[in-house]
Amino acid sequence: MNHTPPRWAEAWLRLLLPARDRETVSGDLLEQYRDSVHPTQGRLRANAWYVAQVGWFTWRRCWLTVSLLLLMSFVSQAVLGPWAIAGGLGRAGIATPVPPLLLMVVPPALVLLWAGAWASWRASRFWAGAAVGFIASLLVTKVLLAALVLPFVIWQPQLAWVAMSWESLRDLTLILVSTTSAGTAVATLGGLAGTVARRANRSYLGIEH
Amino acid sequence: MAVLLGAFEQAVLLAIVRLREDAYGRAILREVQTRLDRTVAAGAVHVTLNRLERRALLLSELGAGTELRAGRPRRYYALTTEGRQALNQAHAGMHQLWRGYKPLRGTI
Repeated sequence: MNHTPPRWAEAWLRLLLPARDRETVSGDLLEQYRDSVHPTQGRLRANAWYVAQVGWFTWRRCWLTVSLLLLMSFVSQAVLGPWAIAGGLGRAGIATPVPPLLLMVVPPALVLLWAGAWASWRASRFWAGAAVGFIASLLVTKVLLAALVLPFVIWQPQLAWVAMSWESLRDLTLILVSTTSAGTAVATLGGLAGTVARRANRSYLGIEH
Repeated sequence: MAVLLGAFEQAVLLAIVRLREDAYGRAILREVQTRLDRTVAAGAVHVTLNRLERRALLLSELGAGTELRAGRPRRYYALTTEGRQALNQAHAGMHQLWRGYKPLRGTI
């Protein structure tokens, strides 16, 4: 009997793969799943193996975006943090420059736009950009939230209950959902641009869709 | 100019040489895992194959699919002349590096 890996994982893999490799690479994984992994390890472990393989491809597609976004976040904390404090002094009546919040929003948005456009161009699929934006935003936000909460838990455990309270968890979830949605939306715009550029390029080269 | 090959790239090229006409993605992965004696992600092999093909060390062509693969085609790989030269250079370089070495006493 021909067993099949999780449909969602296979669909996700095919979404991320370049058009050239979509059939061959997914075929290789399916062959290995059916021929050696499933018969020796059973359905659950075989599915876990398949998801891990798909995770590898996902990380391969997202790692640069995630790294750039994390780097920007830490740089903006280090460079713009004191600037923001200076802005606070300015509001208190002391002449200082206004904190340039745009600098904290525009660079990550540009990275997500580029990542979305590149993913859609490579995969020849519009939704690949959205998928990369979703995964990258989710990972980056989780890391940043962990960086925000963990110091309290480690060095001020008496305040940890604040981080674990219902209100804090609600706020953290809200931040996670809103930043991931915003990141996905921006990368989707990039994906749209990548898809349009890809089609224009194919038309220019005279390749049939 | 000599083409530099990483250890994993050498393992993939050697697997293709050993597999001859049967060198497609999954067979290469299995051969690499056997020779390196460790688990390797399928994606790592595919990324390396694509990189070697971009560097013109490999060429590929599509083959027929099977029922086990739900009819999806296999991509078969073969070394180009540049690929063979690069592998020979890597072998000669490795041989030169290890020539005259005797295992140090007490380490084996």
